[in-house]
Amino acid sequence: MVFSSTVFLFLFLPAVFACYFLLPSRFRQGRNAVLLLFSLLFYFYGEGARIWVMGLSVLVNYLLALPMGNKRWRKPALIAAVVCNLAILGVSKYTGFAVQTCNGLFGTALTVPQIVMPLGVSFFTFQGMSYVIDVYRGEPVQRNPANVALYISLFPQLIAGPIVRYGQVAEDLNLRKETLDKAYEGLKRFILGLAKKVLLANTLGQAATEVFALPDGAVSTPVAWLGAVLFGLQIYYDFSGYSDMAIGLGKIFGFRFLENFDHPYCSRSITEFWRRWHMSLGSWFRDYVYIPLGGSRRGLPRQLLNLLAVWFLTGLWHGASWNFVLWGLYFAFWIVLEKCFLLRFLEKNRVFSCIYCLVLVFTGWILFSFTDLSQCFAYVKAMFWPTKAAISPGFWLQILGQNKVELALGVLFATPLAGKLLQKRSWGTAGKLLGNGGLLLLLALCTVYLVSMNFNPFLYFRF
Amino acid sequence: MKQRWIKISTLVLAALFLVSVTALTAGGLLHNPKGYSLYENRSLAVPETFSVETVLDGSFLQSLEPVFSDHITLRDYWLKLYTFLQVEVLRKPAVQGVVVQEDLLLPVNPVAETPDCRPAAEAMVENLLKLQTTVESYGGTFLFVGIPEQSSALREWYPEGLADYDAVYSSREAALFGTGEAAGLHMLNLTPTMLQNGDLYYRSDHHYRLQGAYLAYQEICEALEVSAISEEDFTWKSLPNPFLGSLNRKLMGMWDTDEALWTYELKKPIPFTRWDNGQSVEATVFDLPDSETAYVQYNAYMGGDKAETVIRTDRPDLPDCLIFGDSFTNALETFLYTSFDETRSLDLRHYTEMGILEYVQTYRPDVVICLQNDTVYLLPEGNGVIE
Repeated sequence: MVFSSTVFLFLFLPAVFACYFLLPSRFRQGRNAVLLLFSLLFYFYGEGARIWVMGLSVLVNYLLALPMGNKRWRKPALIAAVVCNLAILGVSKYTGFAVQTCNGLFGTALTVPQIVMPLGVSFFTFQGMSYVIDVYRGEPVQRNPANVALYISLFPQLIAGPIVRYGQVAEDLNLRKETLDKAYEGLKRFILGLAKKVLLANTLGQAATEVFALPDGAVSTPVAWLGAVLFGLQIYYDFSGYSDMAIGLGKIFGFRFLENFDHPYCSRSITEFWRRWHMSLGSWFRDYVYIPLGGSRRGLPRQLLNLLAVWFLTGLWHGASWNFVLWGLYFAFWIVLEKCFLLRFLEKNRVFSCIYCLVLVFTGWILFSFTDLSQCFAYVKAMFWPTKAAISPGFWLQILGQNKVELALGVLFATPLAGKLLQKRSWGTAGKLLGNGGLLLLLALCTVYLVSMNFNPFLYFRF
Repeated sequence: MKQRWIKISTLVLAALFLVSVTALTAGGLLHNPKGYSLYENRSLAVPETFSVETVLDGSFLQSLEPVFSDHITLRDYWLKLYTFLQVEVLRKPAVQGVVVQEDLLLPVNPVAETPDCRPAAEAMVENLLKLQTTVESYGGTFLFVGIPEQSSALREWYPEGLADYDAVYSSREAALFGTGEAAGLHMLNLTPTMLQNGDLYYRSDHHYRLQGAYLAYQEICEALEVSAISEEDFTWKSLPNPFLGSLNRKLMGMWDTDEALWTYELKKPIPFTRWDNGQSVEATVFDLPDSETAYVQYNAYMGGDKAETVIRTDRPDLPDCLIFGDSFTNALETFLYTSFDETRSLDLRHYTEMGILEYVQTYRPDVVICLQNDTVYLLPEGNGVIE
């Protein structure tokens, strides 16, 4: 089940809200039980019997966190928990990749197992690890297994984040308060996220797919850049839209999830970009991998090695394919250069730094989107090496003409301009009524698009 | 205080919207779980059978999304609103796979062409030669007829920037007819004739008009040396019903048009009997609605695509004919039966009892016509399967 679907909007949401809010707020455990039940149903809808993998993750993390109150067992329990979580992730996501790589490197002919990766396994194993690591670092152990299950399986952020750290929501599990203001803000956020996904991401994604489907040799340089921009906007609105919906829903239920995106395309360096893009993943790797490895505290050579390790893992986390690893290392290269000397130069040249960042990021998206490396390199070559292409020169004008409104809105809302303009004015009652009316119209518009569109993939679904 | 009430009213309205859509949809589904979409020309989704197996393997739950989406209350209105937004507000050049122009709709056909069509053409010709040989082995005559689809006949009207339809269709045509004629295949290429007269095609449907089908019928009869009825033998009739073309259907019928469906009436009717898929049916070649206000579509010709149709006119002095192909045969068949004793029509996309070679050997029609439109000339599927 995805948020941008009629079943979720019109069946699941009304049902969960009704069951949740009909219970008095003093029955916190009852409300938690409702949330847990619906979260499991949400996951079961998409995965059926494979829900056992998430169940295993919950069980492993709950049981292995219990002995952490004992000094003797703390470290072994932590190590066991991390190993188990990585094993769950590794087996379900990377077995096929590992076997294929082995066959390619060593000439073996091992059968590649066809393991169907459980939805959201990358997200919920990281959340599980966050729980045990935070408990190891001093958070009180959660004695109630239902609360651990709720934390790991909470449906707003289960299959596509943001990755919620246990320490951030530990208190919210039992002590949160649902208020009118939070419900209203949550609803607003949810509708805006839905609009980003349905009205912008889906349309831009269709256009990007058209460009990427062009045969080799048919992609001219302008078309290649157009495709890269379309995909870059699609993935931004897809993912940030989903994060908005998750944050909005969490707010309705009284949870405080941290922001996941902060206008990343306004960054002036790759370092800054990764502090604005998928912030929950970046901070997870920083706090649980980079800093424990020593961070920047052990001299420059060690710091560079730590960066390489983190970015290798970041790339690998995104997908079981070498293009994702290459994508991660690509950013590692630029981050290292920036740390060594480039940042000083970029800070002095505002315009150049924005262009530099956008060029590198959009080029990076091509590495991200093509699993076939030869196709990937051919596309990147078309971006930077002017080619005479077989496709009609009017093709890119046709794509632009077909998607001009979405492209313009996509560029506008990728900047903080629209938000600043709206916040500058003090809106009276009439203005606020109009704004809320617009919000409800947006919900209706999203419904129109959902009913009509049959193109509704969600990019981060398979992580 | 005002702020509070604004927030409450927003939440309540949003909740009412969600709940009312849910309730009305659920009510509609319970009342009538099946349904048909006129505009999408398909049956609406039905839920998977509820059982332990289908719940555990997820197929029951997965079936809920298409079912809910298909049966959502006011679905046609949501779709019409979407179409209106795309066409009139966002002014998109192409909507739902249709290029929208002021006086013409054209299909956006996928262009999946390799530069060299010859290998596919050679494979197709080889199969058609098998059929020709089979037909000629008992003294029959085979004819392959190529006809342009609307996107081909009106290819000059596509806006610049879309795929180069002219290059695609021309290369396909040259490859197939060049290879076929060189191999001795009996072929009739109607593209040059049809391209000369754009009025033979609908503006809101991907087929030719009945006038186009009549021209094709005349050319085929001339090629087969069979007598054809002339325009003096019948009267053209334009139906008053609103015409819903296949392309306009994709736009929910919202494109303004005064196009009409044409039929004709023989001055001296030829009595015949008709069987569809082995069942005796009403002896008519035009399946028209009862009311003059109801939509009429291209499927009024012969009642649309049938797996097998047999028309018998009890004129043993005339030859028997078999024609196979897709919907382009339908309009043509309304004329074709007048020139033959028995006319059989197959659509191999739906006919599964036997392959075409076995069919031909079983019934031994004097004339076998394969009619293909140029979007499927080289497609080894459906009516391109010769076995």
